[in-house]
Amino acid sequence: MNKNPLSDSASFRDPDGYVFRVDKRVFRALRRSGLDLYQTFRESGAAHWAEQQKLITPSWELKPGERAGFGDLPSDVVGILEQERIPFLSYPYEWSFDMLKDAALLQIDLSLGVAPYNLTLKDATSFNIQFVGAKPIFIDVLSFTPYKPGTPWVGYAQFCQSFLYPLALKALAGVDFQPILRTFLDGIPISFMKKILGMRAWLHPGMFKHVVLQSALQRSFAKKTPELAREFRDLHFSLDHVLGLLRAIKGQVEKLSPPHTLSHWASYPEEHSYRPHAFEKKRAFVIKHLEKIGTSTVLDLGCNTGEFSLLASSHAQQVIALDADPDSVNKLYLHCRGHGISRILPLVSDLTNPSPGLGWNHAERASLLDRCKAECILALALIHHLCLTKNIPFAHIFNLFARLKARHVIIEFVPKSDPMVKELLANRDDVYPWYTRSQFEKEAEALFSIGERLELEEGGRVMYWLISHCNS
Amino acid sequence: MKVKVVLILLVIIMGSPIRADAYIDPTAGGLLIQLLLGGLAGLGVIAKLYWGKIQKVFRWKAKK
Repeated sequence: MNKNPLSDSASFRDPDGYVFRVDKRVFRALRRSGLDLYQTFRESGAAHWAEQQKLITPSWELKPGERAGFGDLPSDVVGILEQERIPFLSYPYEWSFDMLKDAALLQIDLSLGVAPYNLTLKDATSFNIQFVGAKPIFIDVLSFTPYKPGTPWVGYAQFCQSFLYPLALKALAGVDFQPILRTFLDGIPISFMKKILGMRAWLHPGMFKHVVLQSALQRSFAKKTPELAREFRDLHFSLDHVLGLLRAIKGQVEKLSPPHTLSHWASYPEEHSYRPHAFEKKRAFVIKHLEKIGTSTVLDLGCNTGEFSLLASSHAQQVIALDADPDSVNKLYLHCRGHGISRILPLVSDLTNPSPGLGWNHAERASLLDRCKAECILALALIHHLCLTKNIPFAHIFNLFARLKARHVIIEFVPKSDPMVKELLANRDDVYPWYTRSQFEKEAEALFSIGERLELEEGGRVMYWLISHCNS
Repeated sequence: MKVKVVLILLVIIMGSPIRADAYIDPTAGGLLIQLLLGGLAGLGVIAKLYWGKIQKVFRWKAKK
């Protein structure tokens, strides 16, 4: 199989084609089988339907004269597609519960929607879905294939592992799936799921079928697949059977919801320690500088439930809102989805342990920091957690901002006199003599100029607008 | 017939004597559950497969 030097590092498994990028445009090189699949998908009318419904990214075939700048393409490439670019790539292990649930429902709705065109999806990996703001969208246009009578839903097991099991883990056991999906890129193995759910799997009708029974059958008949293929044909297993299963599993997914108890952080906005006038001053400071900067991308670090991400979305084309707490991120996602806010992409990420490069050669899934480039960073009520809970020195934090290509940083310094900091240090030795406002300013000025500072209360929290020396 | 159903249910629930190894086909369980959820004919296939397994055990014992 020939390889294009421009090929995307995540795109090498599909024999039908691969993705490559030129400048900021996204293309898909098609081999013979891929071109056939794409033409069937397009000529059936399914592609038009899915694009109209905004379920898949729009794509179009390039004419031979439109291929300038691609260099010599491998000889087995017989067609090129262009696809609309996703503004920011994110991965399932960075999504909140309802993001993964909406992605699961999209996968099923697409499968149900293309069935009248006699098409099915050849796999069910969650990596085929991306988010544009609070809306999931399917990106792999080579996934659609004609349904062969007498065959099962081939993506069933993959759907369970990539969507159903992680959602059930949170819904039934209260276990956050993000770190687990980060380990199991192909989805959560059934044996792992069975062990974690234990008796809960036996007591939940859906999990009994999709975990306990499936696992028992897997153990018993793992080596009988050739016979099974024949049984499917003999039983005249049809697209209607597949659709029945899809509808049933959609019902299962719809019923799953996260536990009602929210984390401490998801209720933080109601419990924080600001006096009303101080909080108003903070808001006004942030708005004033966001208006002045007029930036394209804002990165809101430690966004909590996104109060300031929402403010920023009025002044930026795109806001990437990161928080380590999945419940807070989910709250923000539901708010954005409910209000049709498309400029905010909420993601679960711990800044002190961001997603690394994963998969083959560490390059299939890019690290979060390699994907994050932001003109403006918001770091509000964050620095005391980084410095005093995680022991990260000021210099490391400002270096990170510089690495993220920030031209502007709006940051809040929280002094040791603050009640929240006192709480943080209540049960341990204060080994942070360097954690002072003057040291903070000194370290900031190594890489940034202080454009403006504002004390929210006398001797209390201070807001800063920093301008980069190196990224301007 | 009743004995047959009880034996099949026992084998499904207690687990199979066959040990999983490195060569298992990860889709087999997914295929079988689709047969099972697909309707009564699928259930018949599963029953047939399990019944074959139970018969094998008894044949093995008889030979011994």
